Amino acid sequence: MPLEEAVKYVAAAYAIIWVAVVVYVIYAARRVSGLERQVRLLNETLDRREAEREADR
Amino acid sequence: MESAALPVTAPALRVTMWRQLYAIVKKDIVSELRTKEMLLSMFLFAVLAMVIFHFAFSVRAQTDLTYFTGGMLWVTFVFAALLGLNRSFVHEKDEGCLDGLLLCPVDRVTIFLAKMTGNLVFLLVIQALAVPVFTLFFVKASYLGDLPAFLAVLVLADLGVCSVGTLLATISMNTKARDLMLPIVFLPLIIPVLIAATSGTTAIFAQTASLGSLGPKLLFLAAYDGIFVLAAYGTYDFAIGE
Amino acid sequence: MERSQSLATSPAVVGTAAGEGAVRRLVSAPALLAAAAACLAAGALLGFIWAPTDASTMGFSQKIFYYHVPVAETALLAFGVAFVAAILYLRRHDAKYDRLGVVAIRLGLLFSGLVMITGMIWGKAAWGAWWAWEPRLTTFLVVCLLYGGYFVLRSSVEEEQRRATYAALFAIIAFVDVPITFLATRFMPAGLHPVVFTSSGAQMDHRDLLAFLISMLGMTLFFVGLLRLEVAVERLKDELYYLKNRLGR
Repeated sequence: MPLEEAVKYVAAAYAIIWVAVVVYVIYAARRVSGLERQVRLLNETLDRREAEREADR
Repeated sequence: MESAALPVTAPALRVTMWRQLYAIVKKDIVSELRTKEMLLSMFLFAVLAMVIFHFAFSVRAQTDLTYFTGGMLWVTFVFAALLGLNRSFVHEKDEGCLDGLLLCPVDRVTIFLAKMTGNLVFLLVIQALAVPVFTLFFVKASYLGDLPAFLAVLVLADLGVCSVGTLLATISMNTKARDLMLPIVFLPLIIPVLIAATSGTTAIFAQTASLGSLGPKLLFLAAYDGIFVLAAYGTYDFAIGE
Repeated sequence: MERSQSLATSPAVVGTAAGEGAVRRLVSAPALLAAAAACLAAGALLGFIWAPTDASTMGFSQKIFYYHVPVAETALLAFGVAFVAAILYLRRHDAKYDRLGVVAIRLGLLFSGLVMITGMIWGKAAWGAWWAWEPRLTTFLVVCLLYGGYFVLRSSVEEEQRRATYAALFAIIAFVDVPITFLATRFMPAGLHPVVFTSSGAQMDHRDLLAFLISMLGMTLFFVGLLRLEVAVERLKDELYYLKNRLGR
């Protein structure tokens, strides 16, 4: 296979790996921050509820 | 099932058979999309079958499997369809959906058509994914030019598989030997479809197809489909009744 | 602080101080990933600029080797991690091993998919065919299908403990099967393309070797970093589930 052709294929292979890597990392990082935000919100809600229950007693 | 109920006094909700059909099909598709379990299993099975076929037939170095391709493809799809058929009805029966469905004032034949359509949709989705994989593995020459012919064979054969399959699945799911029963009664009946589809598909993959050779096969498949849909139309009330 | 205590003893988040543990882990993940990126870039550069072009008929396409083989070995590493996690789960019944197993196998599947894709590209560049039934490609195909079944299995068992147990059993059996499958594919008659995708075995030029090792390190770091991230995700998901239950009362 002539060099110019081969370069295209090699470049494609490397590109795919890099793209997959970057995309997956971004996706995972987003999920982490999203989930952490939800956990924080729920914790705050629970705190508020506990405080209300304490106040009622 | 709200749209399938019949509040006959409300003119805006005149329920037609088509609406009922659409509702049932949509229910099946939506519930499958939630888990995608059956689709994933069918796809994995299809690819696995291809791998196993390769090992089964590669007895010599550089074996050319071109004339086996139609057979391999359709055996794969017939068995994948069996998987899907089993799944769809077993699920209904176990969850009691079927009883709920039977309580609705819906024509039994509508249930058949809806079930058949649902199965057809799933089978087509699997095929859309599996045919490219199969082409990659086994088909040497490009058949893009013959694509319409290939799709015609595919769809007509699928209709045969799904019509007979749905009818038989309805019967066999009520038997004692549920899982075993369906293949035993289904496979002999589907042999005509297999023969026509296999020979047609192999010809397309081997670049020996022509309108003259494919035409009769397509007509045959269409006739088969028509006959068995009519048969279901006449007998489904008995098949699904308790 | 009664709430955080009961949270800490909940079965879903046992083993960590819930959110704080996940955050602590997260801090090291970016570092790992950055290091991974650096290694991968370095490996590729060395491979292209420094190492000699392959003398065999493969020619320039041999360069794919610097990424393709590390990805393959990292995939196997991932399945190995899942294997160990499975054994640990069966002995200690701690949910965190089940989480680790799922994450490791998911990553292993991702890497296996990449192996297949780059392998096919390499095959096309070196031999002109997108697909060849040769040992490595075939083995990884079977591996993908096998571990795909892992997720089908998981989704069809509802009860948590049983699901984790079956999944662990499957992870063990599957991993044992991988080398067996690879050996078996060698019984296949040689095809048109005697494809042996290694760089002339033992006589790898030291420049090739260095580029390859650095890339290998990069892939491994990448895997570990992602593993940390994903485990944190799973732990957060469990915590969320638990919190939602509490909120629902």
